[in-house]
Amino acid sequence: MGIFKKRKNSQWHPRPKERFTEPIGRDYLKQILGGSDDFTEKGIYIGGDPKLRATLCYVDGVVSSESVARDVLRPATQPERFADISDLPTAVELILHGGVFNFNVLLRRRMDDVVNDLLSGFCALVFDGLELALTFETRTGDKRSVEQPTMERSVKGARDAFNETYRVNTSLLRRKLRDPALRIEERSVGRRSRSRVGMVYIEGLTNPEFTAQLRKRIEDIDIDAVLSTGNIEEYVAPCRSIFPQTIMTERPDKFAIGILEGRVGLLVDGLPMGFLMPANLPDFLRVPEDNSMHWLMASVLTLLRYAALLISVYLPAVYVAVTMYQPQMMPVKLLLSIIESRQTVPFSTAAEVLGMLVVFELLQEASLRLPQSVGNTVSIIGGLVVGQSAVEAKVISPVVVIIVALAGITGFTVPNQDMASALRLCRLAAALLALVSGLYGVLFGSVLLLWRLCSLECFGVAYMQPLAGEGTLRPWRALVKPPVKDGKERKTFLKPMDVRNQK
Amino acid sequence: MKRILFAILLCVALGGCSGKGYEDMREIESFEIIRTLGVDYEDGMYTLTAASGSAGGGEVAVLTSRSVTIARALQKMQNYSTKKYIFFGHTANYLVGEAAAEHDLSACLEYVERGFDMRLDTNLFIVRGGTAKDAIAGASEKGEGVTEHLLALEKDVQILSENHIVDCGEAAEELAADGCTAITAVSLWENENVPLGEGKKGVQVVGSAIIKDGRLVGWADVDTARGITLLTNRFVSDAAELPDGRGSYMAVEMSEGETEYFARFSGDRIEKIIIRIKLQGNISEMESPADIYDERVISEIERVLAENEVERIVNVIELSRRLDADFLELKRELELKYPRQLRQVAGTDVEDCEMEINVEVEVKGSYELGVSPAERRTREHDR
Repeated sequence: MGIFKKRKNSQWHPRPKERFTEPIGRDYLKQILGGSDDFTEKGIYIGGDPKLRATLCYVDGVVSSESVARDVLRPATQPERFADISDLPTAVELILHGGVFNFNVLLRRRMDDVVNDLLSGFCALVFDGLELALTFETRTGDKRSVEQPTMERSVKGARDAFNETYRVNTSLLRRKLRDPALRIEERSVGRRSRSRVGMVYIEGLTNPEFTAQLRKRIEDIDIDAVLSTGNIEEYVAPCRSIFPQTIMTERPDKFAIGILEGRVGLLVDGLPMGFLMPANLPDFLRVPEDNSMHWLMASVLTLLRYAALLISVYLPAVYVAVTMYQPQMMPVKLLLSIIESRQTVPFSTAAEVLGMLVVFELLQEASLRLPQSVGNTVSIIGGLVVGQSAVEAKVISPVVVIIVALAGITGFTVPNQDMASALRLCRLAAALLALVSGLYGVLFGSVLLLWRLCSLECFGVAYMQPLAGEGTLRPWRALVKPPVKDGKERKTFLKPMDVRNQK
Repeated sequence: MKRILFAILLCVALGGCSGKGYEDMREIESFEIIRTLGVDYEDGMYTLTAASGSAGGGEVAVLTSRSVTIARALQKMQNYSTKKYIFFGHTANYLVGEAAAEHDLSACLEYVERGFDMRLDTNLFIVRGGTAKDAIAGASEKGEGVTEHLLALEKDVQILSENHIVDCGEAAEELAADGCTAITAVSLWENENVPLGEGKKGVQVVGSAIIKDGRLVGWADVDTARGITLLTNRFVSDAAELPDGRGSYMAVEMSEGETEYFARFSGDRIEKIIIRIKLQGNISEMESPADIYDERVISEIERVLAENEVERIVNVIELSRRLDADFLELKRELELKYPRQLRQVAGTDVEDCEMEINVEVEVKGSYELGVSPAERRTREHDR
């Protein structure tokens, strides 16, 4: 879209490869971070020897002061440890090899690395004369505990959910998949946020094409900060479609299932979500609970979700089209009843439906943004009190309330929130098309939608797989979940290296 | 994106979004849904009478208009109200007055066939001894209205196989194929003994109207119409009442009926048509003291029932001969049955052929709980 393109006169600032190029030194570090009050630096004598001077630096709050004192400062200043040491290089060697009780000690010779480490939960011992620093991981233990998923509630499945701490998320995944072939490739993304991003896959199972593509896309990300899911999603799946291109989940079990299917995953520090790629439309209509149910029940529920999807998108549109253009399609008793109910309504059918759809969206937004207790009140007042009063006051007809409510409720059955949001837009567009030209408009919109969905690709995999796309199609696999023993093969369209998933 | 925009513009230009769509758009509350339409013919002009539908027992609007053609008369009806749009897409019943049917029923069906306003599956009725206007206006005076009466009739006549209600499409098709058909005849009736709030007038089925070459040529009474239903294989169920000669009756509920036609050929023509009818039923009520476990009694019941049926069939055939109208679609039936003798069938006037009627009635049984009235009476008599 032209309006989102870069302006011609805007200047592109390439990402600097190295931001701090001067040699490592206390003064230079103070110059970089000293303007901030949470930066702390303290001169120390290694082994209590005034000749062996170093500077201990850290960013308060990012590191644990207790850990710094216990695991770095105390052992580094004890004279008995460094009794035989007379020069700094030997002292650095000793510290690097166990002289200090910290398992994660890194030798840094570039100021960039030191600054990154300091901001990532390390403290640093800066040796001015040597132009090097040793950094120690002393990350603070303040983090949110593993809680239940809030968006994707589980009935019979696992109840743990990802949180904002990257390492907690990787550990949750490792607990699910104790496979030595599970690989987590970490990168740092964001010019200013320097967020850790981990690409997750199983070597020998995930198609290397996917991992190569994702690796390249992550490397190409040049953004200030990765602070929201959209920041990363739009880069790793660069498509302007309203339909989600990645499966976003807060559930480690769903993430693990995706990895086992042959997808490649992405975990980002600071985001309580995992991303799975490539994504296909049928995946958004499945929930992990399907695997905990009898195959027949799971299949019926999947079919119900498809039906709900269609009802959610088309019900208001079909109502507008049929009442305004093709009333002969409606059963006569229903038609007479609708006519009766609309006699005193002051708005046209289209205005009524479109208005109610907008009101429904507003109510939804209002109840989402408010605290939970107030949100419930808004839902009750909006849905019941205002709705009922509007019908009683004959401002809107009861049929429209039913239609819009049904469309909304069926939209909630779609398990993925991004997909549900995309469907909300489709619903509105379909209603507008119905207003313009009745069922012809709805049909035209459907064809356009289908065309768009069929032309979408994610990592070279058709979005509509296995309903449409290249290769051997198994449409029934999208609708029916086979019994576990019969589903011996992974999804072939994901081109896994290891096709079988059981004996 | 450019391609999508181009596709949208193309569709807007070529499709229903060219502005025509808005013209077709109407608010649903402005619709007056017509459920029953009547047509009469007088002095070279058609008079249309339309009754609207109502939800939950509301007022029924009755409109009339007059013109040389039905289409024009329908358009004139739109002047009834500036706010309302008269909508004929849900017309369920089409009543044709006797005069209009005698003049030309095909002409009355012409608009339904060619126009897009009305459906082909609209039920067709001929009003016997009156006009459609009187029937519609009379039955819509109070209560449920003519539409509800006719929709109720549709179900009722099927239960007793009194008649078979054909729709406009069916009638037009039969007239085009055979030139003859039988259409349900109705008339206005008046009853003083009706519950409070209900209309005193209504419509009732009074047999069938026989149409030949697109015109009304005669009538079949209710009993003969029942025979037509059986002979055209539209039998659903029936209840036969049999007197036992001692002042009491028994009822046999006929649940299955099937008619088959066979032809015996001689040279270039059909020599004889054999009509074989099989009926099955159960004794549903028994007042007479007959022993239904006695096979001779059952055989006697079956014989009487068969005789009654034969009498009814003979009446139908005589009517067909008298009017020289093949409303039973015998010729088409035989053409389908004997495709190799198509020429012989075509060359025969089937109504005038010798006919052999063979009716088989099978009374399959009955249910007894405790002592039947018949047995009770026998015991009392013995005492």
